[in-house]
Amino acid sequence: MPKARTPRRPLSAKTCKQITDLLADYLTDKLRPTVKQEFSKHLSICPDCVSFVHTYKKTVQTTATLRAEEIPPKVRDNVLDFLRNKLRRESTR
Amino acid sequence: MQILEKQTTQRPSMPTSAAPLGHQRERVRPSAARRQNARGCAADEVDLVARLQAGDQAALEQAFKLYSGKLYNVARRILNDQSDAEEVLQDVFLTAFRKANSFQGNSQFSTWLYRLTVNAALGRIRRSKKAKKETEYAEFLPRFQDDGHHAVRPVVDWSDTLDEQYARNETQELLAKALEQLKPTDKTVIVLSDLEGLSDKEISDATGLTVSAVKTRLHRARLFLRGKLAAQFGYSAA
Repeated sequence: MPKARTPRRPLSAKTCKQITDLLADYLTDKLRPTVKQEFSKHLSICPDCVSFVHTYKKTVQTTATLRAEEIPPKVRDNVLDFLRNKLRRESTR
Repeated sequence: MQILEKQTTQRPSMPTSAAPLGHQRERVRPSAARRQNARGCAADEVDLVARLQAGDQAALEQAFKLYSGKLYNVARRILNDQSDAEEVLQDVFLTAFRKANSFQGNSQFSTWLYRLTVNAALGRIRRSKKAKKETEYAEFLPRFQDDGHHAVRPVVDWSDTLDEQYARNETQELLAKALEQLKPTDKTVIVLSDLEGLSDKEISDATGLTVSAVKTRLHRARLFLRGKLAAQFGYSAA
């Protein structure tokens, strides 16, 4: 007789550690509906995780506002000169 | 208790179409940007690649003007050094020109350029004779009890006071310093994701990591940065 399949236990987001592990997917809204529901349920009873989510999210937002390292004009000119000279030398060989 | 609203922080990605020299800041016509081949490359990008593959040096200069700013930012962030980043740019664009024919169009051209940049920058770090001090993350990552609850309670929410008590420049400086302390591959992933706005799949293409590894490294790097910020503000990183 074929074995009865054991139903897979759904991923549970019950503990603070599990909540933390799911944070990245939560921020980009990639959690499955059932997991998202458990996630929200946990937040409704756990102020520590609410604080953690807020500070994690703030960190991501602040990182995104870091100014780009602008390419200095001197560097831009140096690289362009390098490329032009290199290709000119190669084309005259 | 208020539950966080969904929000994503994505930066504009690299330009996907080439503009005439001297007009790089002009917006691309939407109709041109929408014309994409089956693999997602914009029509203008396909044209630029074709010209590079044909050995057109003007196309190389066009590619440089379009992409050098973004690639420099990535290289500079990974290497923390201007002259090293300059040499990486030289390598990247020379390679892009010489090996343009090896670009198969399986990803966007910009992703291929990111890949060349990441390989050159990380290779440079691996070959570096400088003493390598590996960052220890544990002190700045959250800790949990055996039952899965936070080990240090209460967890303080400093997200609002960050803007109130610290000038934007000061916060940026703190975060930039913390970013420098990340392990090179983790730093690469967070720069491509949270600074450059690439998707996990694009980062996977650019780094050679699996999507799963990208997600793991990204999350760990963010936790480390969060922990560093918390510690700087006088709170427990845990």
